[in-house]
Amino acid sequence: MIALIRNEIQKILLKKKMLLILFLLLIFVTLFSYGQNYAYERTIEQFEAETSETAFDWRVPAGQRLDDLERRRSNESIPDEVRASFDREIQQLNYFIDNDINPITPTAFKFNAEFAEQGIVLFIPLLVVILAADLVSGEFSKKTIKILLTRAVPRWKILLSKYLALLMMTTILVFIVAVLSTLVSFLFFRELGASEPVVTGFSVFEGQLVSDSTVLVSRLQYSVFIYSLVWFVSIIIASITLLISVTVDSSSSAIGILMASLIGGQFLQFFLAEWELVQYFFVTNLDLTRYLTGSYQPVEGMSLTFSILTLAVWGGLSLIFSFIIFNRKDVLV
Amino acid sequence: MFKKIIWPLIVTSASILSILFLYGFIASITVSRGEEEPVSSEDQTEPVQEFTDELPVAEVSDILVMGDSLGAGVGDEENRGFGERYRDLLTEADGEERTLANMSVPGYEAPQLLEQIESGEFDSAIASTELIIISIGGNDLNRLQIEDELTISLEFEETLSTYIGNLEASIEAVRALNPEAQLALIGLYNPYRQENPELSRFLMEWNFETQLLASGDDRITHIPTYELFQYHLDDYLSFDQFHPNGAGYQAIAEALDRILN
Repeated sequence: MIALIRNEIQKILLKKKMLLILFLLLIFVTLFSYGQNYAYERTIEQFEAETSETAFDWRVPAGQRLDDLERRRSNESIPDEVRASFDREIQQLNYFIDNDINPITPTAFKFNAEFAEQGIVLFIPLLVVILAADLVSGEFSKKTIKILLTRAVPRWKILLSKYLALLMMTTILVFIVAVLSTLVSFLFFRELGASEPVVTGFSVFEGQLVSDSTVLVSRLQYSVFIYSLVWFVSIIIASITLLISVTVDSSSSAIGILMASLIGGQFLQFFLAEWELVQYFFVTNLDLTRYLTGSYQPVEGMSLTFSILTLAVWGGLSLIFSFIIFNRKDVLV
Repeated sequence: MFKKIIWPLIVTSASILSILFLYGFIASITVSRGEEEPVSSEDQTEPVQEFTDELPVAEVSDILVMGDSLGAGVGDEENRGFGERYRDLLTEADGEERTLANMSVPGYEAPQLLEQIESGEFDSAIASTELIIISIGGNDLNRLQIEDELTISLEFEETLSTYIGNLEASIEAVRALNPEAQLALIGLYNPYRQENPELSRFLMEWNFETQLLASGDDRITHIPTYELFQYHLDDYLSFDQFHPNGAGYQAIAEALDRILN
């Protein structure tokens, strides 16, 4: 079994897909971090031009906000949990002021989280699809499936080893995305910001954003959270890709089908947000990171737990069907 | 090469990372489910009960400011807001010292203002004052999403009628406590730079309805700020591009002074 997995890993590596993915990532990460750095400098320039001050001093608005929060905090009539959420923001602002960090300065850890938040719906799933789409269908189109199946190994073992190899590569891929986006953006921003506090854990209650349950975590911890969610999403996408790859005979149609459903799913979400069934489609649930930032609720009644369960069902069913189909498939090539 | 270096490397890194990600995954679920701990009702009622013992507002004041963040003076570098600035203008004119109380809560919408007035905690403050300046409605209107063009008009009408209803009830409640005091309603201005005819129409209608409410009674005045801010956004808006800055509050205070006296 281990020999089989090793064999599969070797096959994936030999196809040089990882290189292609690395190259794609490098281009995008560089573009984005350059763009963000540029936008940041523009903002500061603009502010300086508008207020005709010589240097941008972020402490003025931060101090104002802090005063405002302190004042609201001391208001007797506000409930305790609201006061607690003020406390967290005050704590966060104090950190920035004490450590002399401008809160809007782009840092490498802020960037890697943002990159994952933006990429989790389309870009990172596409990278996984590139990695996984020809896993089985490639064997068919290259007609190597015959040789593979003539070995004295049951079919399910072959598929399982392929799946495990894919999972390992997906895990490493997510890690590469994290490391690459951190490193490249660090080159631009010169600021790591791993210990900066960030507020997370918002919840939506009766249609209103509630910040009562928020907690303060460091940027490093926050990135671990974000990339763990990305990892989960990637595994689900890998499982779905496996199913498509087993079902169709050519890698290009596998990639086509997945891209169509990923992009089509986004449309679906826009146009049919009212339709209840949409929330059970896997693409609608990919955006897990938004639940952490509290900025988002695509369809009424969706929560992180709901999305994770839906995705898990999609992944599990895809896996079961892949094994059934692969076991019964006629090999005619 | 593959067997000796790359393969073990991939296996170990993949398993370590899987454990890390699994940990993070579980942790993020716990974090985002933190809300499900029920807040006990005792916690919620306690601060209100304490509250009746000591009023944060001066019991007797000549000028009382109520409403939202504008009333509280958010964005003012000197943290004075239009209330203090107006009082200082008055003092400059006749040398008489006046007291000022402020019960504004940033983020308040018209229904919350009504609740605040009806709660009874500010009864003595309201009853004893000569001038009540109310700034409300900005948050009500701002909550509307100006994106969906089909339903926005309907939603706007609904929001506007809720706002007017609540404002009317608030004024009645204030009148019941203090039939003599002069009331001033601060109008809304447009903090957004881009020309949006739809938004301007809404704002004007909003201000018009507020003005209508004021026109029935001599002792209710509407203080227009729309024209005041229209061509001076650069000078009058604070850093957050929404609330006025010191100069903006000064302009409102001057408008108050001009219209009321």
